[in-house]
Amino acid sequence: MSPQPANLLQGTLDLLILKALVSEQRHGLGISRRIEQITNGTFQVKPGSLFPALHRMEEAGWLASSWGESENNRRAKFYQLTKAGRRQLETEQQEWGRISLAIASALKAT
Amino acid sequence: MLASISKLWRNLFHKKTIERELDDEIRTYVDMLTAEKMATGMSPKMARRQALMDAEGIEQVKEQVREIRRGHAIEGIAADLRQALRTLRNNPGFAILATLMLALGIGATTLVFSVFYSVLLKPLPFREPDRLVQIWEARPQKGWQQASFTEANFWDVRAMSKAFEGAGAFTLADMNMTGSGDPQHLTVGRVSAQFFHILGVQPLLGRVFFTDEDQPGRDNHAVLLGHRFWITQFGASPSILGKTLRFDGQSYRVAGVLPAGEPWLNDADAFIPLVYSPAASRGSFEFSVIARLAKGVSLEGARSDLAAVCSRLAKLYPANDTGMAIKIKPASAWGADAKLRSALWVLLGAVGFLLLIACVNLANLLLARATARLREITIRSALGASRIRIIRLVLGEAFVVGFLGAGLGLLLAWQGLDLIRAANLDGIPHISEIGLNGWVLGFTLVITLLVVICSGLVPALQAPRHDLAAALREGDRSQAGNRSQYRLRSALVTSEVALSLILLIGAGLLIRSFDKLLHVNRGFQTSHRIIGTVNMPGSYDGNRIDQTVRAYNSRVSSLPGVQAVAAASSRPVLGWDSGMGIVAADRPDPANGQCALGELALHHKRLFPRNGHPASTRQDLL
Repeated sequence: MSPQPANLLQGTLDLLILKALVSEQRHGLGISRRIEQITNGTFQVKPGSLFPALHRMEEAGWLASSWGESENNRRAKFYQLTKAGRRQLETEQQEWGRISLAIASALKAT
Repeated sequence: MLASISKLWRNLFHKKTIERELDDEIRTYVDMLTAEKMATGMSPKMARRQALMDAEGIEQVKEQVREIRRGHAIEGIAADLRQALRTLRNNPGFAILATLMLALGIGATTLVFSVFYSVLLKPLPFREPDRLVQIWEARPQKGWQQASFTEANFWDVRAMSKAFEGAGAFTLADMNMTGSGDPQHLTVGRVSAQFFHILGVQPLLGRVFFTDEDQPGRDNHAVLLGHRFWITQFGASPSILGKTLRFDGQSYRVAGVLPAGEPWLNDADAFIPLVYSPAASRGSFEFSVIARLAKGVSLEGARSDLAAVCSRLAKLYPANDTGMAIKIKPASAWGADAKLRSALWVLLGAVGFLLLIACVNLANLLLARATARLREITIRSALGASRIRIIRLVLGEAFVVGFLGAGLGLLLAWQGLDLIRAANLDGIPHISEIGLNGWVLGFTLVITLLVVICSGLVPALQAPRHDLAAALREGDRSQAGNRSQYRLRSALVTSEVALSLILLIGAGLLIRSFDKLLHVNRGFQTSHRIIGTVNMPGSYDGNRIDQTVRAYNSRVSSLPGVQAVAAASSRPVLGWDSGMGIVAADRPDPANGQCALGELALHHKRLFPRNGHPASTRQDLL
């Protein structure tokens, strides 16, 4: 596992956060760990980028938050996807697919 | 939309809850991270340390979250202003000094600009003023560059010229109003009937003159009241319409009330028609003539048309009009002549310097404070304040001082305007109309913002950039700031001294010329002499005038304290001449009717000294 955190484009971080919340609601550290897990440890999100992104996305109406008990009985703020968030995930996934195809074909070109 | 507004509301007005939640959220995160690390076998102390390092500064994270919040900008500005007010309250000396300085600068600039605006910038209160012109007679060969019109030439030029949509004449006459209370001395404007149509003036009440109301044979006894006269004399009563007033024994029916306005409209108490006469004077130059250019005619076109008219008139009336020329000027020259114009520019420049000095002063004070506060500012940066935040902090102070100063300055300007209006300065057009209108307030706002930005930005940009530790050490070592700040401050002080010197020299010269003006030798004495004006109806002939003057003189000379009395048709240095020609007695009929035009006053011959024997010469009085 590379300890070097990859540079995250802002759009990429949004996409990863949305994706991390598809299955269930999570708190900050949970989201960060989930992203690490689904990207096989490539992306480690620091709180300095994670929390501003979470608050921004909440303001945009993609995420909703509520306070609850964590697995080791701490009061934590949990985030979940809203309807708008799911729509956003859809859009961003398509967009990402388009971009990655384009980059891949660009790299394949001789 | 609603959701975002409610979020904004929550962000702005439930700050405590939001801040507590943010604090909880980040702390839980660090706690959880610590717990995770302890689970791998780290000691609690070590785990906590590692977690804090991973988080890269709790306060910085919180600040970053705050910055993306909706309403953060508003909230930040409010916080900056609160902070600025707090700092200023803690430094009353600085606050009061800076505010007073700015108030003086802004007040003076606003005051001068309000005069500047109403004299030079305010549009004339007339329809399509760019087509309005004023014309003068001239006799270049005799050296008259600009003279009033004779009545006959006005009627002729009006009939012959094709360049104008219409032309109107205006002259002032002193008249006595009788029949409504005590007799009153009025200034009455005599205007040709089209005059107000050419200006495009709408009456407040009633009508203006009918266009043929100046033709003989019509009922020419209508009067239009000036705005001020209508208010002071008739209490602004609308029922004055249709009433009859007696001027110099003639009856006039009130046909309308004119609005206030400069020029022309405020010049007279009332206006009566100037009735056309085929026998009008060709020798007395006393009419101001305005005209409206016909559509599509340029000033140049009008000039050549008028030249043709002049040569026709010279042929028709060689005795009076040989060498006649007509000078034409656009109405934009009505506001102020070139002298007043440049005087106002100089004055505006002078107060601009004053404002600049206040501005430099404020910058210097802020810079000195920023230097003294270097440590505080550095600590703020270390605690997570972004550079922009620090700049806003310093700007916030400039902003608060700027607007306090502007408020106080407006108050000063308002008081000053009262003084200027009360001083009743003759010769400055529109002076009665000066005031703090929207344009002037807008100007004040703009200069205040400029002052705030100019004087606040310099010290704000001096805020420490990168090397916080070095800045902290420096803040420790000296309160005076580093080399570049020192250089900046001495540059500011130097420019301040230079600007002050310019102003001082200007003011000194002004006082010197004023002093000289006070001591100028007028050629006659003024102490213990008083002047009064007596107005006699136009219907009085020479004998009647003579009798009246005699009666006045003997009555006045018998008053206690009066040594001598004299009468004259006009007094010295009145500023206008009688428009009468002078013909030498030994050459009664000069060729071509040419005669000198000079200042001429008819003096009543007999003087009545108090002790009984007549004074021998004029010198006794003058």
